[in-house]
Amino acid sequence: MSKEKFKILCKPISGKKLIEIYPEYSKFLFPNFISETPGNAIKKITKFFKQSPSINGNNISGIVAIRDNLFYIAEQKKFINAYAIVASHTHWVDRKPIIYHFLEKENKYIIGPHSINPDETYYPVSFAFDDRFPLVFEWCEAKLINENEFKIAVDIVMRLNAEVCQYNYPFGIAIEFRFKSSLFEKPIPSIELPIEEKENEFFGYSEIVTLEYFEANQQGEETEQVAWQPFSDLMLGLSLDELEVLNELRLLISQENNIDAINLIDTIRRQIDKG
Amino acid sequence: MQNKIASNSVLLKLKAIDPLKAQMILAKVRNENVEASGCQWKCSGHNQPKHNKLR
Repeated sequence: MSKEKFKILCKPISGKKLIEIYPEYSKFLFPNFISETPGNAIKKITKFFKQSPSINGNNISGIVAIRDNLFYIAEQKKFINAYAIVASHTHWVDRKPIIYHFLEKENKYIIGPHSINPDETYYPVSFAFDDRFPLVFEWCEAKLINENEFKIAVDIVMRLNAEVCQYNYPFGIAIEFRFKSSLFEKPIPSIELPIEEKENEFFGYSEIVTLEYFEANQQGEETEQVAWQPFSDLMLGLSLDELEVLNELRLLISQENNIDAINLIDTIRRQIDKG
Repeated sequence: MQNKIASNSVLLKLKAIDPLKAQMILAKVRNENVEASGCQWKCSGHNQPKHNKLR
């Protein structure tokens, strides 16, 4: 089966065309490129790199490589704000396109296998790396994304894919539009939660809220990190020696828990201030 | 003990470089260890059998 015809999916697409093409396309995606659960996606990463990713992802060479490539490819540094490096996964076994729908009143996204409107345009926002072109696995409604910004963002995704696809990293790249009015604004951390109330019209789908909102309202829930920020250390403009000091400091504090790590950094900072 | 030696070694190296860059490095690593700045997306509850039954 030739996959060349699926390249069209890297562009905004009509609902009609998406409905037509997706059943055959989904056979490419699952399960090779997209894991069936977040847990499986993390396991895949851990197996590939022989360690699980840290919060910042600096211990995973694939994340560092994707960040460095983004740094070199993006003509303006603000463009890098438009991405999240993701553990490519789905929550739905139905082989239907996964769509982001925004509930403005509640300031949340509902993601899942929504009914496709044949007359609506859908924008590809999540991609797995593959040879020739990236494989799209999530879309958003047209109103959620600026067309001109999207053109810039997807062009960078295509070039990034060309650079990294040969390594078969178990990561994908997402266009980070969540809760932003421009793709090039700083990312806003967010969390996806299953909708389990049977009376909810979106029962079986997931809702996405900001991490800030979640932490203020739902303490104690277990969470799993599924995306990492896209910013390369190269953005700091440090020399090679200075980058080495940065990595030594990371290594040093990686042996501490988060609170002790922050305390240690603050202690070092005070000692430097003292001279 | 080993950690103390490593800590002193990093401290000396930080002192040896441009103070602004040393502060930049410290700020960068500190931010990375504050969860919200290093982590972009999370999921919750999706690996539980309860959720999978919905599908």
